Amino acid sequence: MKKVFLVLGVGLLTAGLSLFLQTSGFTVQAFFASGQTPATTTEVSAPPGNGSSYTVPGAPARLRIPAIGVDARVQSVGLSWKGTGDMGIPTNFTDVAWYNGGPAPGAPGSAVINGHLDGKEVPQAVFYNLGKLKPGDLVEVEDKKGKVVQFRVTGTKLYDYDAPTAEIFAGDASKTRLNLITCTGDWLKTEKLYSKRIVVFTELVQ
Amino acid sequence: MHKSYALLSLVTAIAVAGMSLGAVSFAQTVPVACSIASSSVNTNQAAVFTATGGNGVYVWSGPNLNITNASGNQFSVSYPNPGVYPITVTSAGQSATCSMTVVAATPSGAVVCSPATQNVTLGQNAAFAASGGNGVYVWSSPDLTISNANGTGFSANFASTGLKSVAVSSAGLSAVCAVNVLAGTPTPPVTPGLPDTGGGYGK
Repeated sequence: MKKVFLVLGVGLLTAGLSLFLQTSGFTVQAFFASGQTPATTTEVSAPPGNGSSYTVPGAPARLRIPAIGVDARVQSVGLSWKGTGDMGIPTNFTDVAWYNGGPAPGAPGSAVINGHLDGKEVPQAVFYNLGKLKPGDLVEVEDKKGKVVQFRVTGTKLYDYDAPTAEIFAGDASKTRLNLITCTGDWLKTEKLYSKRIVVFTELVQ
Repeated sequence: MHKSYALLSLVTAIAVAGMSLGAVSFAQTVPVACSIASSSVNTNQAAVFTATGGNGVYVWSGPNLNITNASGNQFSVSYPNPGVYPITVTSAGQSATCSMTVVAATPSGAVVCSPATQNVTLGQNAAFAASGGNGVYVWSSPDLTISNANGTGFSANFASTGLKSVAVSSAGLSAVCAVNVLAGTPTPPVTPGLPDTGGGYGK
């Protein structure tokens, strides 16, 4: 019984001394009772995040895709005038349209540009050959101040015309992407639209 | 008597004519000259030119100028773009040219970081933009590992919640943006539907 009190008393004294020394600014190293190796502790701080600066691009003025012969004026659009909540489209078959509710090409995030595949009376519009692009193909955007940013095709993907669009318009914000869209698939006579959309994903050339 | 008056008149006439001719001759020999108050100005800053000599009536000219009333001996002009611009003044058939050097105006005033405050959810990127200063910026933050710190825009993804700060400095001045990084799952953004970019040619 005495031994129990003795051990308890020594323990309390040690704890009190340790607390005193720590609050007094001393460094206390604890030792394992059984061995002589000091136990080391490392303060765990929150890991740093990541930050990167970039040159803020201006609104896009021209889109060039040499591999498919595109050199088009860029219109700025929001949502469709039809009130469907869809992205707006260019007012003719030779221009392309940039979604101005998202980043400009060259800013972090996913910039989006679309163009027509065809028209009722137009066999081939500006993005008729968009599906021919292959990974590595070059895409250039010139902003209204004449600054040019370059992108490389990383891949293509087909979507149903009414598919969710988060990965197209709001993908990985740590990447700087330009995603190009046009129609493809079958013509749905009832809805008077194509069944699919092809999206060409590109990433900024650093 | 009449002869004397006639002779006197002739001599006077010749003398006056001679003086007059001498005066004209003297005026024509003074060359026109051009001077400029400061040969180097900023874009859109006026430079003042002064003409001397000639016959006192001056015509000013220069590149890309539409001058409608410039007959005085002083002329003021500004250019929006950097470069060297020759300004010519003409008087009495002679001309002189002064050159003005226009340099890009250095932005002045405090550097600004915007938005000054913002809330983001952990995992969501925070975006900033710099303005003012001298146009050359350095971004810093104790909570970030930064690559490429010299752009006009800045994107940050913080690894922990809490109040964070991002500073941008330029020309010895600095500004700080505050970011409150909140816990939770980022709300998915509302994105538009896919565009209808086909007309169904021949269908």
